Amino acid sequence: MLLGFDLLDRQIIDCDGQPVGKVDDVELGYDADGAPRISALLTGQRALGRRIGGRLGRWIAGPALRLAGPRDDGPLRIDIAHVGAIGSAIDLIVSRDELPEPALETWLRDHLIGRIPGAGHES
Amino acid sequence: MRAGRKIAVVAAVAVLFWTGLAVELSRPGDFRAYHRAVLQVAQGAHDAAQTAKLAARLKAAHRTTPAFTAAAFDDAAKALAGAQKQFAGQAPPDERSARLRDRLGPLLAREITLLGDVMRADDDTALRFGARALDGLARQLDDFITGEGRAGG
Amino acid sequence: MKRIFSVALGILTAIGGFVDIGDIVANAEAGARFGIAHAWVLLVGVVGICVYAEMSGRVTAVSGRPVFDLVRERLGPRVALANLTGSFLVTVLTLGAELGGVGLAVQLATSVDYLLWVPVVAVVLWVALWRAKFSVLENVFGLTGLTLIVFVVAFFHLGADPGQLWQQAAHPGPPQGEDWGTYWFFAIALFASALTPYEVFFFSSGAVEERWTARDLATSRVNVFVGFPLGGLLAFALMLTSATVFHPLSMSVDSLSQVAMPAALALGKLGLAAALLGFFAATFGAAMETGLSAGYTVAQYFGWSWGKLRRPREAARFHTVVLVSIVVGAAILLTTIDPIQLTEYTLIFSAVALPLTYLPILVVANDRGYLGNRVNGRTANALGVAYLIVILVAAVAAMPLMMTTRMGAG
Repeated sequence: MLLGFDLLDRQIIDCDGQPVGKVDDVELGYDADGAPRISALLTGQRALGRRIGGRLGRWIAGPALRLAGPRDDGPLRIDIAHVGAIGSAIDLIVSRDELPEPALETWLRDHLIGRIPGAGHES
Repeated sequence: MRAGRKIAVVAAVAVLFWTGLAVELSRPGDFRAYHRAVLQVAQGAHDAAQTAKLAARLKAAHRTTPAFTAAAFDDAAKALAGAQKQFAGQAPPDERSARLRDRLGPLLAREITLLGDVMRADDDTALRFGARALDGLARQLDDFITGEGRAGG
Repeated sequence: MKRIFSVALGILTAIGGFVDIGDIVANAEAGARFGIAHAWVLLVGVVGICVYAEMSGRVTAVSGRPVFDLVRERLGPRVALANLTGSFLVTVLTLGAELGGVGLAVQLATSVDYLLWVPVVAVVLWVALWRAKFSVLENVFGLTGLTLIVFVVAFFHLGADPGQLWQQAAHPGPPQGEDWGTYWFFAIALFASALTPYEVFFFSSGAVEERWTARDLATSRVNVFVGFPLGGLLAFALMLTSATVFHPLSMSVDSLSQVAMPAALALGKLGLAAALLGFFAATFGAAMETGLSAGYTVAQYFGWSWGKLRRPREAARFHTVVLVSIVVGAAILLTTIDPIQLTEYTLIFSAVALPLTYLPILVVANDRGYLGNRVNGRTANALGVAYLIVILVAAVAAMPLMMTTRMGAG
């Protein structure tokens, strides 16, 4: 498998078909033999900003970093054990409710979108 | 060091571009520039006259609504005002240019009167009369444009 | 029976949805100044949008992924970010132009200045995208947009000289008093009006929301290959009527009221009403599509949840982008920039941004990893590559032509 071609920048989808994010970066670990292997997928603007790097990267990661506040636990990390099929999208075997929600989504829902009447209705 | 050089190059290009723009814009007008501006003014005035003529004809034939007629006349008036503004904003740089101005000026003045009258006109006769007058004026403007366009080409 | 009905509805919506403020302005302006000497450009543009809309529909139906997802996968995060920036800016500008078009259409019907309508239209647009069932709206505005057929009828009533029109169409080039620079400037504007990028984003995102699968490919193709050309015919009718009425007077068109005049001249009040209703529906429908497209592109780049079918609170970031885009679009107009001029600029910027959208589609449509045995055939690839070259040339030429012709002023 080509890391850059088959994994990075693909859409991650949870077991109910809901979008979780992009594979913005991957975390590499070593298995028992010392060979490198992917241990987790990283997603969110912070992972993306770090990957792009430079001023642009900092600018992208900025809002997420600020929203994360003092109890900073790094970008959203999805353990490789939670990954099911890899096709035109990455299917997870867990629901996105079990993963931490992106800070920007929470903030915008609580401060803007959720306050507008009708936000809870399907259309 | 490399970043500094990059910034210097970008800044130099920006300054050069801006200077070029400044020189281009502050150059005293010559006949060619004035000639082109006058042709644009004439074209704008011509289009406004044609628009008002069509609107007047539509109104006289009861083929339009009051709201639409008002908007169409407004558009014509705005176009004429724009042409007027451009015309007044430039002084002719030489004798030849002044002659050009003296030929177009009366046509514009007449168009203001005609347009005002036709916008006020209520009965069909007055509208038809206004439309005919605007048509004649549009022809004159068109002759001016084609004649001068070829001369200055 | 139900199936036939839904296919017919899709076609009719595609026809009405094809035309937007860009098509209205570009066709009427070109028709007035050049007769129908640009007819071939419209033909080329319509074939182009058919080729690429079919490709993006196929990619989406088979892979289940919308176009902008694939843009990032294929181009990587940096280039795709540049692409996103360009596409997003053009889409928001287009949204502003469409809002202005709605305002002007309402002004022509009510004589209240369009600037007063812009905030109202923006709010109505936002409420529509927030609460209303989108498929219903799309169908309502698509079908209402069909009233633009009035321009086809008007053309036959005007009694144009077919020989002269044929002369113009058969001899592409500037008539006396115009030069080649302006001719090509208008050609690029027309080409961009037929191929506007938001159409592809919208088309493929809609297909994802409606959960298209490979089984829907036939429907998609019928919509594209029948609906878009017929929509192009409506655009052509605008060019024809403008060429019939304004070109002999050697006048140019720069307001929406002028565009409607041929309908009134030929068919009176009823024709005028149909034309204004058609303008309103076409621009409002396009405003909905551009508003959503702005949200789609950003959300799909970052992988956020998006879409009209989700509750807004479950797609807070997507709905925020849509809301901000509408506010920005309205704000652009409230600077009192002339909506018609805004449209002209938008068309030229679209032309510059076109390669960013269409190149990735062509690449992905050849990728067996996504499409299996449904990758492009020879014809699709030949046409796709040919169009990509045309798109690139247009993109490179757009800005220099804009400068040298002073926005086509000559």
